[in-house]
Amino acid sequence: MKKITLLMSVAAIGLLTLVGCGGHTPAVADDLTEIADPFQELQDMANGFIKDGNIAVVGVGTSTRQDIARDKARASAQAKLAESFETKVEVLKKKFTEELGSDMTNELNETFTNVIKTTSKTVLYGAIENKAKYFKDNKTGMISAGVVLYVSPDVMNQSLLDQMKNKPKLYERFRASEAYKELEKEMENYDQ
Amino acid sequence: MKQRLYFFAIVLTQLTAVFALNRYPDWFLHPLTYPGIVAGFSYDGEAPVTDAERMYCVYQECIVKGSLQQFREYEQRDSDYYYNFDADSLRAIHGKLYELDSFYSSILQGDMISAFGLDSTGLQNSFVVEIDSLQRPDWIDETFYSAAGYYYGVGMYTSRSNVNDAWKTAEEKAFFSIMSGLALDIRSVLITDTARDSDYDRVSSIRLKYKLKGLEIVERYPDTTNDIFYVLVRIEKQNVFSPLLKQSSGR
Repeated sequence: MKKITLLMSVAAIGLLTLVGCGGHTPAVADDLTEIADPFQELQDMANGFIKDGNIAVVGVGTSTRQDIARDKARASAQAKLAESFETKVEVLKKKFTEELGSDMTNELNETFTNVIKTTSKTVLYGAIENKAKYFKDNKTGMISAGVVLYVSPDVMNQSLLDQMKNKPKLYERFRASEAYKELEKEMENYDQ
Repeated sequence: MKQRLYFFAIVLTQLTAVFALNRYPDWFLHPLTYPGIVAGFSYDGEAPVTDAERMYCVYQECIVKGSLQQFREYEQRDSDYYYNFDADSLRAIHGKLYELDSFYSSILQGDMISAFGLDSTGLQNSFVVEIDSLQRPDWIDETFYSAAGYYYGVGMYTSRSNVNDAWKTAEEKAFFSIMSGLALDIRSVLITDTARDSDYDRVSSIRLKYKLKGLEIVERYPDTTNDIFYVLVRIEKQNVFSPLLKQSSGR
């Protein structure tokens, strides 16, 4: 008797669970419409670049004019690219600090911080626009443009290296000059 | 047995050096009392003598030239200036300095600070000073001042990072204090980052052009309470040259 009662209880719970899991309709399904991303193809392309080790973003801009829409899209992509680059550099700095512990020299820390600000502009000029796509809203006449911008790691790394090479380290700030005599002559004129 | 004793002595010295940061040799804290002595700092695998030879030349005579940009909002410094000295001076002094004393500033990192001089008997009567016994000097409240025919500059830097780097940075900041206390060409620029909406920053650009002769390290003070290293340097007024000073005096 006890066994039967137990079995019936389990069956009842199971039935309730099944009912609970099956055929659940969303409360407001009728009010929502899923919209496809018109630039999904561009995003997939950007993801492909990222997978290959690049930094890539999709920028979007709208205007009644196609050329302006494209310019806006490019500017938006440039901004996103700069932000992506900054994030990557910060991650590099963090990784470096973790590997070396507290042995991060003062100048090196400064170098990484400066790279965020100055190199981002260099990266923007070296960014490659891979593909553009346009959509026109027939009702409003507005044109939406999307572009993919990416930067290869070689460009990025070289920018970082160039920045680091140009930064005098603490001890190398005191340096021997073969052209010291010329420097002395220059002392006469401040504008040199 | 002898080898064991030597080993034990070395270990004991090393262990003692662990606490060296609470004790400094007097020649390091009061170098003016020991004329002709130059402190050298080890760095990046370089022996202290490398730094000592360079600084010997810098103290004799150097031309400081370059620029410094400081971003206000981003708190960044973009420094591109150097203390240039004659390469012939370095060749002349190379290999001629005697290492007279040394101590570990960091056992774990293997960093050392050494005293060098042209005279092998140049360091006499030096002794070790307990930091706790030092009186807080008044000059640490200053940045730049002049007295008795000298310009004095004070530099400070946190001691929480690498010890050698901290002392070195404080010393360089002291030199910079003298130059900035006298005359600097400062330009301020407002920059706008067009990649981002309404993002701007103000950049101060400082141009340096000084010839300095006979720089001296007067005193070093480690503030263990606040973890700050202070360095006081000085230079005779007549040994400071800059076209900027000519411009300012001509007004």
